[in-house]
Amino acid sequence: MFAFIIRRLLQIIPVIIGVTIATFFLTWLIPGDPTNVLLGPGASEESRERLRDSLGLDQSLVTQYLIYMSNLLTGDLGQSISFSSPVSEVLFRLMGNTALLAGAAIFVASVAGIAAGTWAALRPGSFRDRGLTIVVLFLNSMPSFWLGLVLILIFGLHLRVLPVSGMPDPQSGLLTLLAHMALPTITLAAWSLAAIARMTRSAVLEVINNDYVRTARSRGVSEARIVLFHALPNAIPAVLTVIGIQMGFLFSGAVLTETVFSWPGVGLAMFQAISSRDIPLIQGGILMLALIFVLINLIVDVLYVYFNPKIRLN
Amino acid sequence: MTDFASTTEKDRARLLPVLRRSLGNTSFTIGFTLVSIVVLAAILADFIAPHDPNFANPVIRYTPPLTDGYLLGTDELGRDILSRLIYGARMALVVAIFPTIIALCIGGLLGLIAGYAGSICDTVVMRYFDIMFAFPGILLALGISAAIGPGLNSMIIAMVVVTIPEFGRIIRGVVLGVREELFVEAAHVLGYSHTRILLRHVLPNVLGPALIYGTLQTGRNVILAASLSFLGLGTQPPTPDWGQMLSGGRTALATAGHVATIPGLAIVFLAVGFNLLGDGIRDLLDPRARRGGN
Repeated sequence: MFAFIIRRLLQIIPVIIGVTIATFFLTWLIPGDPTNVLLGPGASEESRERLRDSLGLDQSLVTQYLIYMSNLLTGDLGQSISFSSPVSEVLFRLMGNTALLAGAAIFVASVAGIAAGTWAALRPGSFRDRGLTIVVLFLNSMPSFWLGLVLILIFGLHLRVLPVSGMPDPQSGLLTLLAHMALPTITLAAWSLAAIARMTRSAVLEVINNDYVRTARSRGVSEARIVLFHALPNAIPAVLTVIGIQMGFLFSGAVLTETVFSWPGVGLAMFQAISSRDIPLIQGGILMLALIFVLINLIVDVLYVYFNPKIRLN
Repeated sequence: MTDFASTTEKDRARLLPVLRRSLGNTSFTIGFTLVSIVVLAAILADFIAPHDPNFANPVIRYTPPLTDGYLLGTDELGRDILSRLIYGARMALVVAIFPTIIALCIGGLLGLIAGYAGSICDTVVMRYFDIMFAFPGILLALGISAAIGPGLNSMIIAMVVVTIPEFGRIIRGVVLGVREELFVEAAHVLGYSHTRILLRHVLPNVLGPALIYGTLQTGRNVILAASLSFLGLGTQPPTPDWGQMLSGGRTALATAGHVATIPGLAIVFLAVGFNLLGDGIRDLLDPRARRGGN
């Protein structure tokens, strides 16, 4: 197990280097003089020259990349134009809000998804099973921001039961916070819920007809016990993988959800960065979210092995 | 001449059962119908749209749906939503299908080479894919189109870059399987060139999965494109575009909810269409992988 973790850690090093190369190239994609964009339109020729120097823009790509990397390693992600403060500072300040939303969404998606998937798998081909297939199809074909707007329309504007935008300040209490989180959480969770429900359904279907389940049934074990203690634990590794992948996507899906609900996280900041052409912030945000994605995948891989004794003991 | 005629005759005879079987598949039929409706709307836009999609008339802005002359109402500039929806079908199809085809060609070629050549080729291509997979798709697409500057071209480039690895990995997997088949081995023994084996023996086996995943990816691209448009990275006004219409309606959600919700329904309509079509094609081409299983 330990050796596996070490090996897996070593494996992600080239991926992380690759990720930094890819984000580095984003600056290179900017047409014309990148300092125009990186410093904003009002910058003086002098500060431009200074930036050109510090980024090594007149030197080879390799040198530029090495400069970018050494800056990264010291935590320097550049200067955000729209926030007029260091990108790393902005991202770290907002990351907590995004993580809060993503965490709530993955919780909702996992609980509801596993429940719905198991529920459908117990009666394959039944009305409720086909119903789930249709719901999954629609959730998969629905832009999350549209779902968000529809939820705002229904719960915020017509029924007036839930707040539709922003995040309350910490003094207003947990209940207010939860109320503000309700709609963005559902919106963000919808897509993942569909994926988790589908995976749970097929994973449970795969184990439900196994000998040990049949044995338990013949011993008169209740159906609920069979599902909870015999079928689900064996379906967990497969479901866990999907949950992990979805969690990575949730952090990036936050760009759309946070925009719709004006939730002050990394996603909303990146949306605002688009219109102000704040490329350093976008670049930093992408790098940070991609690294989180890689890290989550690593954790999922480790957990997968941990829950799978067949692999663990080899 | 007669030969030619007889082959088309034979083709027709072979086509009929295929058609019958296809129409017997519910997913395929519904998906095909939904996509066809959008395609027809796009082609016939000039004839069926009741108004000029870009004609703004601020006097009648935010007209609710089912008003005389404006079946789906008007938007924030008083433009007819139905007409914009019909013309927007063109852009929706272009940004969904076009990047899929380009990415399928490039990704497919990379997957074909990686899977067939193996060794160092495979390693290099797969490492590249691994890195691309480290980025959640929308994020990378956002970065690329933001860096190049918003617009249709940069959006398509971004979508292509993001989807290449998806296709590459799938095609590589198929090729790895086909490479071990007896008929490929036989072709090697017969001394055929690699090009010939690739084109005549491997490629035909890749086409099925390419068609299936291409169609499913087109469904995902409908949403990806709409998302990028929504974020302001897609086509620029006044071109009618569903994602953009949706974001335009956001500001008036309280007073005129239809402006934002109706384009969303169109997006769901088309995405469901492509997803069902893809599922249907999968059922038809590979009856073993019936959707019931996973």
